[in-house]
Amino acid sequence: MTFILFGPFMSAVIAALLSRWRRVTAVCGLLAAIILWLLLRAEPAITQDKTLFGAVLVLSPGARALLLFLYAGLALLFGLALLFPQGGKLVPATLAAYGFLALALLARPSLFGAFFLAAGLALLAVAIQDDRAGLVQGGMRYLAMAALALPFLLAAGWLLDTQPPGAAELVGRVALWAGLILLAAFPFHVWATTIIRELSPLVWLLLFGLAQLVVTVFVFGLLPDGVNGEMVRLVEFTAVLTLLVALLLLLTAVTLPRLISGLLLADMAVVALLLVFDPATGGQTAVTVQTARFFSLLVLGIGLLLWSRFGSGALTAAAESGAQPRSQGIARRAPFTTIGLLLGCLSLAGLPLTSGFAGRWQVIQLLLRGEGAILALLLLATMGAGVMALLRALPYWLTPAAESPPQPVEARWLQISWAIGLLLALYLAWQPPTWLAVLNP
Amino acid sequence: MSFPTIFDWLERFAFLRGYPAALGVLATAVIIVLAWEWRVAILALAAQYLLLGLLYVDVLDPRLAVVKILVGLFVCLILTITAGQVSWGRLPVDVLPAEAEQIKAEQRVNIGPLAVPVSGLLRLAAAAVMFLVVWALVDRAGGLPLLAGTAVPATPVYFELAVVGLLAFGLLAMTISPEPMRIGMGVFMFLSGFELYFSVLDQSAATLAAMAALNLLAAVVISYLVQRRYAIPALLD
Repeated sequence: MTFILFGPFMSAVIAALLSRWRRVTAVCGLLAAIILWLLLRAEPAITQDKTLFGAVLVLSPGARALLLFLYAGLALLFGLALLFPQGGKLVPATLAAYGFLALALLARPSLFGAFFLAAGLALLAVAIQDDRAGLVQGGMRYLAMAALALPFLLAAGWLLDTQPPGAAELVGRVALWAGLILLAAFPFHVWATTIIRELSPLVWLLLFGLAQLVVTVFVFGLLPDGVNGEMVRLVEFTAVLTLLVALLLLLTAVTLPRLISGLLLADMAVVALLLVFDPATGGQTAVTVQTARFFSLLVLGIGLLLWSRFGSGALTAAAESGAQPRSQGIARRAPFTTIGLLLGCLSLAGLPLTSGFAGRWQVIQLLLRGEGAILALLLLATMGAGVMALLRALPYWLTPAAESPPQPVEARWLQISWAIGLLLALYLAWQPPTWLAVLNP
Repeated sequence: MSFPTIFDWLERFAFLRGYPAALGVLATAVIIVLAWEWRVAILALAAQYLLLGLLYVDVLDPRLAVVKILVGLFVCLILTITAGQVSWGRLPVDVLPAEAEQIKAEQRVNIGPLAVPVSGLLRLAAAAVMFLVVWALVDRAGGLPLLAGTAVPATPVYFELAVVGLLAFGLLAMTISPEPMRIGMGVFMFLSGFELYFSVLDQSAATLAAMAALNLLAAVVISYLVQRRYAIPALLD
């Protein structure tokens, strides 16, 4: 248990010392994540208590399952960082941040959890910046967002720990604000699009896949059973606003970053919508949506990292920035990479036969059961707009360039790797509980 | 000769406690938003932490209030060292303006003997509006809205003035400038405002230690980001 708690920080120090050699840092992170996963897996599935600076750390079965998922996710992330080297600070900052985020999941009372969560989110700003001067502002904005959510997190934690059960509504109100800021990026939608446009897909995976999952679990853990009408309206307003921004981005998308930003914002709005349902149903559905988002971004991220070797981010000829149309005919030159990218996008949009569908379907059902028919329609409209944007791009990607110098073509080994990966992705979409069983023996 | 104790210091500065301290906090917040010279802004931040210490004494044991002041001064020290390392936001002597595409010289207007940046005038207008908003919020009274309805002890108006002022000007500093140092100072003001309010709710040593750790961690992260922004490769990028 001690190594599980302090291991991430120790490995972060080692990774920081080795940060000059990027692949070595990635190996260090990969080994740390695997060792932590194995150690955690060997821990008995019973509640264990340990005291740290006055906070009691409780390894409940739920927290254990989530931590197993997080460390498996980190191992995948660092594995990808080995194949596609990133900046020197990504691995150490990520390990340190996840050390705090893990403590946030285990710490009782909730006030301490809020402190650990805030510390973890603050460190993610360094991971965002990742040694690239142009991304300082992105990192600072994330830090500012975490600072803005901190009062609500701490106040909710304090209320939960000290106030009588009658104050549950107030706890919910305060926690909802934190949830809206951190989960729906409200009112920081532009920040999310900047992250997608400027940062490596691995950082998206880190922020929107794994970190958001921890925030989701933490915020839903603070919410009471019922939320009053005023807050329901606020959440719905936020979600509608986010969905409208997403819809606008999708309808006007001429580049991949804009398309992905739109899809991601729609997914974030879905999680925000779930904040008003009772925590048991809403929380479980939100976790389903978040884990599906992780897999979608994983496929999409790998696709995009490989895609950049064959083409640009243009969806149409007019959007090409260089003299040579790099993306024209890319689907013929790199068919498997294109399919991977499409699958990632469709999964993020929540279409059937993808891992994103299960969560999205549950949300639509929940909305239709209540009075959220209009919201469900808006959600379906964003899904449709996402598909339409992809359909607009397909003819351009399929049409071979008339006269152009030879362009790179997908290698056979890459096609075989993609084929195996895509079959696995489809299997996981068909049988979603399988991976849960593997992670939580 | 004996060195004065915390209580001696408090007695000496008793005339500043209450409204003068709150107004001083508000004044330093305005200076931080307006000052284009980093040295002035950091000095104002340090003065703000000292004045905040006088407000903390109203709700905390004076020995704990001193810890808050020390943490604040350490934050300022970290920011000062960082600012010095990056030439206070100016170009290093061995980098020519033509080489540094990332740093554009800000347009200035002459007002008397002062060459004021154009953005300074905008900041002045925004600060004036924010000042009115803060005054209106505090004047409306009725306690701070976040935890209205709970058994939160009543606080004097000057306390609310300092809390609302710090939160508002912190937010303003975070949003009004793209510079990491300025955003960072906004983060610290915002955190200070909330910390002051939270000290009414929770006076435990564990919370105090956690807040101190969080402040120092934020200082390290902000310093790192400021250094990355003004590192020579970034300037020449």
